[in-house]
Amino acid sequence: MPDFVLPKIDTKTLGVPAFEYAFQVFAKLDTPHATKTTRGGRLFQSIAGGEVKGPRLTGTVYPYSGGDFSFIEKDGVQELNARYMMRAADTNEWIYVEHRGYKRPGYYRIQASFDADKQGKYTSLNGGIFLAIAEEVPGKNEVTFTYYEVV
Amino acid sequence: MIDRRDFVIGSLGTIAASSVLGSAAQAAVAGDPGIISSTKIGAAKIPTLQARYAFSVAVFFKERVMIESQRRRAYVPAIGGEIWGPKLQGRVVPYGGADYGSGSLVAHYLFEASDGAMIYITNYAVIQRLDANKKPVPWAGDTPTPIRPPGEAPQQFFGGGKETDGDLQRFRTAPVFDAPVGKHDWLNRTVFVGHAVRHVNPDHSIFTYYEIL
Repeated sequence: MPDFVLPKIDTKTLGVPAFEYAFQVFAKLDTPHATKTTRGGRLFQSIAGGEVKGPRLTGTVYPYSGGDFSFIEKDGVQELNARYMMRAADTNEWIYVEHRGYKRPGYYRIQASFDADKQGKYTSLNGGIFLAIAEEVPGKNEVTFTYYEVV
Repeated sequence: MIDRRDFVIGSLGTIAASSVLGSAAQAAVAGDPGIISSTKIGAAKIPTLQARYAFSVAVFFKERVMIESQRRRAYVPAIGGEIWGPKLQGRVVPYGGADYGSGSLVAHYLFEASDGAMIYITNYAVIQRLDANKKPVPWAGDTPTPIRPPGEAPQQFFGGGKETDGDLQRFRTAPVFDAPVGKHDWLNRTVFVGHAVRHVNPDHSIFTYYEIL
């Protein structure tokens, strides 16, 4: 039984978040591998490499540093679960990327987070909550991720 | 000014502190603010990210427990709460879950929609401290607060017992839902983002969730 009293909601506190463009990753993917499990489907796809460009980071995707380990639900929705490494062009710093998200017809969106050296140039990527729009490049095994920080 | 110790206690050893809603945002909107878009970036071919207000949740707390392991595990159960907004209404099930975060905030709660559906949420969250320019303060060091003796409860809330100050803190969340097949199952295939504001007396947070379009 509740031992609290719901206060009058102060609607002034319900602000609106903003999305700040961070960078784009032009990712080259390897061949996907699918398996059927007792729970649903598994889809594995390595990231073969790529370029990173934008105001917050310029660099490369470290080839074969990870990939997507999606779970395919029974309704066909792909639950994305990816990780890979990037390297900054100027300082050679390593940056870890993690994705969670959903892919279904007409929708390919991601929650992303990063780990960067805390004393490095890109430490501001640590701890932020990021979103990404993913777009498949027609006719190629490539995806463009556009990352935004939620501020 | 947030004392680092208060900060770490309150935020359960989270990442770095900062925060939040600009004054324009504070002035905003109780109901549906319509569609929020990312800022247009020049003429470049950068797609626009859009989000739409989905619902808000007030989660109330009482116990704030910290297990002093090396990674400092929190236990902060939800004692109840309410859900309102265009896409979901209902309540937070009392003791249906807690923040069990270690290093950053990871809360698991159970929602009961007004139609009776039970919905599970995992709420990954980050609280960052902001500097005078509203930029996150980089994580300064690894060391935070003295270790408490076993069983001693933290006495202070985040920010030394003050409410979230939008000029000082940025509290953002990345929720993942598990809803039953039916009316609410769109939650299972949609990316959301949220922000939160902490309140004291009584101790609660209000989370506002946006559907990423």
